[in-house]
Amino acid sequence: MQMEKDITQKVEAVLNSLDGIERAAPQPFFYTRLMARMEQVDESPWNKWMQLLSKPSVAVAILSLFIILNGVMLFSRSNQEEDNNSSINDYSLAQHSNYYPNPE
Amino acid sequence: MIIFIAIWRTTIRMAENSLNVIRNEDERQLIQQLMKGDESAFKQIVETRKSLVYNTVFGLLQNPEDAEDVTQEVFIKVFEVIHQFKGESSFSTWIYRIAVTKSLELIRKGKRKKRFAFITSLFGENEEIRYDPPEVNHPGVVLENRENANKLFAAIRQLPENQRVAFTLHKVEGIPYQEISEIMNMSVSAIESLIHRAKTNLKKILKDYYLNNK
Repeated sequence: MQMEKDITQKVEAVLNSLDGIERAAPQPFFYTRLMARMEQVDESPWNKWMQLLSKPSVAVAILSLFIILNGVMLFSRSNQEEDNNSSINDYSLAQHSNYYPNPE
Repeated sequence: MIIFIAIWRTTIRMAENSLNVIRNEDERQLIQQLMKGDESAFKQIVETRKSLVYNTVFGLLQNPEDAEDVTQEVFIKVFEVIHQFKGESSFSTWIYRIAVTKSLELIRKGKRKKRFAFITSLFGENEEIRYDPPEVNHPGVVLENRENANKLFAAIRQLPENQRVAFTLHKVEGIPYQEISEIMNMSVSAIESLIHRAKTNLKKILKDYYLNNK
């Protein structure tokens, strides 16, 4: 009972430990360091491209385009193969039929 | 006599209102100059708001090096997207929102790294990951409360994200519920509920701590 009371008091003391807290401030010359960092970022020509490419919307759009192009190529390739196969079949059918008699 | 007091009160009120207008007008002009890329306007904004941002970020990240990094990122973001500020909220609220977003990005990144720490350790990556700082030692806490405050910060780290943000903004930065609701884009009653649940959870975490560390 006493232990529980002690624990409750300790918990309350911890919960109130931030009362009267003052604002923390960055180290001196923060603006100087900030400017140095911004100049570093500005100077790199890669940054603009990488920032653009790292945007999720751009990355998803490029990936979707890639998948669609692949799909179109596979589709047109399979159509081409079908055409080849059907023309081969036509040829062999023609050879074995009387419709196109072999030239003599 | 009554007429004199009424006139006096009206004069005071008019002076206060005009001061508010001037204050907002100064800020409006500063923001307009910043939108044109004026460096002196940017410097003024940084110097007047660096502690606001740093204290908020420190409260959430609980680490001075991360707080410095993220504070810089917040002001870089402010400079990059100032044209998106439409004045629907106060400028400070808008900056708080960026500070919270940037801090949460780092917290989530730390959690992802922690999740994959086993895998990265297999590949011998020794990158220092500061996601479990041992002691916070917030410089704004009086010395006699420092130890208790460290325990509280450790407990806050275990809260769900929204509770952690709401509680930290209220307790560390002293922001009223109304402004927290604008920063987090939630209703005031939702913020009240979040902070109430945060306190309940913190009590439970701390009680367990004391029971296990008699």
